Amino acid sequence: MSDTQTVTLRRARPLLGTLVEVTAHGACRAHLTQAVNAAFDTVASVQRLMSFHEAASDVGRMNRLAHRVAVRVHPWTWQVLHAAQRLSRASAGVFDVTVGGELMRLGYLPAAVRGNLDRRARWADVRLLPGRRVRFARRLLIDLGGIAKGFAVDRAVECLRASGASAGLVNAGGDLRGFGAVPWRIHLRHPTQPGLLLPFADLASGALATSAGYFSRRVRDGAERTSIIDGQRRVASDATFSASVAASNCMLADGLTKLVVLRGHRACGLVRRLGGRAFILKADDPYAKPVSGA
Amino acid sequence: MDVFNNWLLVPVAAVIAAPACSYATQYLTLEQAQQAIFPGADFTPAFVTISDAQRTEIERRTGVNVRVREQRVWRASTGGLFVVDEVIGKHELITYAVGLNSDGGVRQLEIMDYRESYGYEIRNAAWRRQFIGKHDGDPLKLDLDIKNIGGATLSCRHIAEGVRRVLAVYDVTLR
Repeated sequence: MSDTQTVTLRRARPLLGTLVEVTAHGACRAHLTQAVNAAFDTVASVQRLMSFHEAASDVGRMNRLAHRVAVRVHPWTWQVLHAAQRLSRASAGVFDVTVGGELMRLGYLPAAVRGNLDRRARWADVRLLPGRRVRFARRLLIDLGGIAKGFAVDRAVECLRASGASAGLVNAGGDLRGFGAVPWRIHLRHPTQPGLLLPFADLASGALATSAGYFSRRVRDGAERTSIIDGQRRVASDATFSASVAASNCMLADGLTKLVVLRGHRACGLVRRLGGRAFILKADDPYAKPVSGA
Repeated sequence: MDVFNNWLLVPVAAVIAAPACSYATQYLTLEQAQQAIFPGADFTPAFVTISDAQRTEIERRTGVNVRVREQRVWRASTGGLFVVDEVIGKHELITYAVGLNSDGGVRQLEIMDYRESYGYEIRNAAWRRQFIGKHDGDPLKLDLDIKNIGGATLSCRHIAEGVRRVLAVYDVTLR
């Protein structure tokens, strides 16, 4: 196959509460079209399983029922919950998916259930039982928003590869992963002026996720807060920098960015031990060399 | 795993390329979007003009403003409707196509054009100074090479509202 015969397809659809963009290179347009459609279908499946908003999703069912009975979930949801628990354990609970109640109170998530939540509930109250069953030890709400997007990107990339695309990139609102012998030039948004796009890196193969408050920041209690909640302290981050993490897969990268947003430089060592590399772009000096957790 | 040792990520340290303050991507032309949603079909224009009464009714049902009176609609020879619509946010203009099945259900949605634009100056003088002397010409020129943005895109709330409006237009005028 010569280079001149390579076809490129680039499509975007609104999914996961953001725009998901799929780019694929390959030899045959018809094949690629199928591959790209299948990648979007995969992302839509992840959304159906893990959406906080949909009552019938695994997350919706767990939030309604798992404090009373064990709820059986899809293997993908199971995988994401396992990864979330690993991150919570490693970070002593700074990363915590049981912050749904806090996000609801802050207005980031709609009121999903009736009844009182137990404010003492933490990640360790989510019990993963044999047979892919989940039980909550306290009344709590999980939100997989901090990690499921990355998982969806990984599944979509898997799908593109299996369909024979020679190279590709999936970008779900800044959580992205590429593969193939193409250097993908990535721009990052300026931390406080998101319309400014700064050239950041060329990604060959692997994932880069970025978290920042620019489009979610709201004023609460006289201070600007993002929608990223510290699981230990149960408060929303007021970070004004943006945090990016490079890793081999996007779910890991996505989860790790939350630690960097929440703990800044202090999280960089942990991020590195867990297989990622952190970069912080500061508002006043974004062109200072990205600080990595060396 | 070290991302640098494995050549996963090459920082653009040497590239002091211009930052951009607007961004645009065309994903699909009209014909491409039509074929993406209704492969192999022929299309006949069936544009709809929304009357005052219809506008009121659509706005009442959806809570979404009807800004444009003409809805660009085509009938697909294979059955169904192809609709092109635009949504405008504070900083973004998104053109998208939505395919409706013969029963009015959404068949597929594709973004055609995405444009983001911020009219601001870079206010932070210290920050701006970093670029002085590093560039020829305007440091804020549109960088057409921008393809992949790390960092959230604007929310797609407006698109959801747009689709709700399109479905109401279908209900009120086309059914």
